[in-house]
Amino acid sequence: MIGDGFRREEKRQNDQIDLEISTMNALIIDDSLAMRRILGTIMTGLGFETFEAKDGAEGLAVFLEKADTIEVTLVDWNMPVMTGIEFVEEVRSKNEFDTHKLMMVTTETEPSRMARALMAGVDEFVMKPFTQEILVDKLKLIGVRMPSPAEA
Amino acid sequence: MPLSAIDQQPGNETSTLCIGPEEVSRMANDLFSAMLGMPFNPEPQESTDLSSREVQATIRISGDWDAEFHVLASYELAGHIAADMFGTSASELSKDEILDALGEIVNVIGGNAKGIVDQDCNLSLPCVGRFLGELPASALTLDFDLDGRQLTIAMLEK
Repeated sequence: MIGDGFRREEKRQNDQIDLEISTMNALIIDDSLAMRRILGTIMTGLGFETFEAKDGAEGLAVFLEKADTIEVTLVDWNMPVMTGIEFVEEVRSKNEFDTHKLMMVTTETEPSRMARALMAGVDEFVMKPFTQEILVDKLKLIGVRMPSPAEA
Repeated sequence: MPLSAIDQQPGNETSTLCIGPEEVSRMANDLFSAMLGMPFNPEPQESTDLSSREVQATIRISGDWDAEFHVLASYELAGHIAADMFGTSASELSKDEILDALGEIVNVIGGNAKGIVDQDCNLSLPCVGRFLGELPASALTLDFDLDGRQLTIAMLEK
């Protein structure tokens, strides 16, 4: 009987793991609720589950807790408390997150700013304003896996 | 061909241009037509009186280029914009959500302008609130038709 209980617990844990593997998450960090909603709608439409944060510090806390389940992080640059670039520097300072996909969704697109962000470890930029097609193209460009077929 | 923000190709092509009505119009068109899919007439209209404008979003650019951008709208239009951004009806949105959306509008316009000018400068966080009924006389003030309603974008270079 103890064996049955153990097997049931093992199956439950396996089911949990399967569920976690089949769910792909995106983290959206932007101080604008409206922009989080726009990005969230697009990402949800692509099949992602989303986490949201309103600044870099809140985003970092979510990221550190959920990093294993997050496929891509979309982060704004100008935010109170902790900026997007500070968030990127924090994430990239940890070796285990070297390959995590980080995309800046921002108006900060002057060459000097882009160079700074790329040096900090950003994989790609999306310039506001953007269309869904542009966002999807950029996600594919950096190798983000899509939970469901994305319309190009 | 002028560089469009929506083209996603920021670069030096327009870095020597000043921000004028054409650039403001193009940035607004990229935002409202291409991104939000709202009916927007990029042709600036005769500036009318601002008495119907009730809310204002402002952003400042400081550094080698100093400027301010203001977006003015009636509360009804601000709600209409927010409803489009949030994908819901305006009646379901709070005042904070409506002002947040207008703040993001001026953030995108100010950020794009900063990118076009390509000087060493910083963008402030947007500031939103009630329009107090006046803009500096020296501001470049442009009225646009956004889905049958009047939207004002003003730029003040310092």
